[in-house]
Amino acid sequence: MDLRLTERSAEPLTEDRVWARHPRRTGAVLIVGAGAVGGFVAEELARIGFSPLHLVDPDTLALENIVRHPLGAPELGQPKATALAGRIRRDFPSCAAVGHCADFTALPDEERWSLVRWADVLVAATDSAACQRAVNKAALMAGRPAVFPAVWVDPRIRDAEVGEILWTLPGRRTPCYECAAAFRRAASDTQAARGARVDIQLIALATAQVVTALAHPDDARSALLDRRHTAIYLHGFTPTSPGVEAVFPTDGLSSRSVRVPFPPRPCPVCRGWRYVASTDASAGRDDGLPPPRGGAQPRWPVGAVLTAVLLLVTVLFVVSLAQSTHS
Amino acid sequence: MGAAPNSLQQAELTEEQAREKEREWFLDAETGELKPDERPGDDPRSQPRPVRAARWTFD
Repeated sequence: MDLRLTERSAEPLTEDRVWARHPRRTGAVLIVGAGAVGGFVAEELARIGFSPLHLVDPDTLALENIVRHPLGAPELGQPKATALAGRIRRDFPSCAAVGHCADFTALPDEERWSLVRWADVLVAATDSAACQRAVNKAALMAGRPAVFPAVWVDPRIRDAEVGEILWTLPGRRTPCYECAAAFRRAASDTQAARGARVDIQLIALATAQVVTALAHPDDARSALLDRRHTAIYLHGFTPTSPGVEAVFPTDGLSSRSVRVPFPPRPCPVCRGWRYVASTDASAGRDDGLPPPRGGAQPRWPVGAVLTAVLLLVTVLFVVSLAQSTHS
Repeated sequence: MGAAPNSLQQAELTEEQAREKEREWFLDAETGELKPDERPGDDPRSQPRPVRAARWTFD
């Protein structure tokens, strides 16, 4: 452990003191998007003990950002990713945070791959569906779990009233982001989206718990993750709007884990689909996650079984016909 | 010390709220809606309506 001294204190930052109140959980995380959600996620992951963290974001900190971002006025005009990485290194010297002022989708393949392959978990916290999809593809190619935190933008609800956290495992063990977000529009005017910091931070805190559970299946937090319910919706500390009260029947803070089915047709990205996706019977056996609640319910590809039976009957019929002709 | 006050009971969910809290929902990515799972014995007329998931999100 680095024994550097802080500027104002002569007390060394020994590891046993820093994590005296909760055990350190570490691992490498790539965070694409260092904005209102991704910024707080990065800070929380550093507090939990994750290192290294790589932050990717092409934007600079603007004045209207500072009310809901870990950075403040001293960092105005600086790239969010590099400034936040610097802040994290300063506040948490045990976290090797690296910032990349870049658009993830515009990175050369080799550079993108070098960022992805060392990560234990990927986090996509951007306002661009195209970028979320690019992270999804990269996670699938590298065989890494990924988390997609976001805040709903919709005229029917209050600002930042509902948060959404999708999480995925590679190898068609869960539906991928594309399976779950086929309806997402490619672009929107979300730059101007409003949202209260308190509710956004709740989403960031919950996302950090999901990342920890994915990186450490032995951690008690992994009990939160059920492969049949890979979408988590959070309602902030605000009165519930009529448009969402069916999902959140109580006022104020609440969460709901929602089932995300594989699509009825093969997903163009992960190739998973409803009838040949990994069965619930194998759930949790190779990823360390607990089996789904309610027990295993293997699904059989009915069409494939019927075709096989029909083929067998046809072959038997042809064979018996050939035998009777010869005799 | 002594017995705990009863005020916690007032914070418990009503029977209907508890029932709705237990209901399973799924995301229909084709329509972009959160939909309730059907439960045996449920009156279809009392089913909660699907909730449209927001088309847009921000970071």
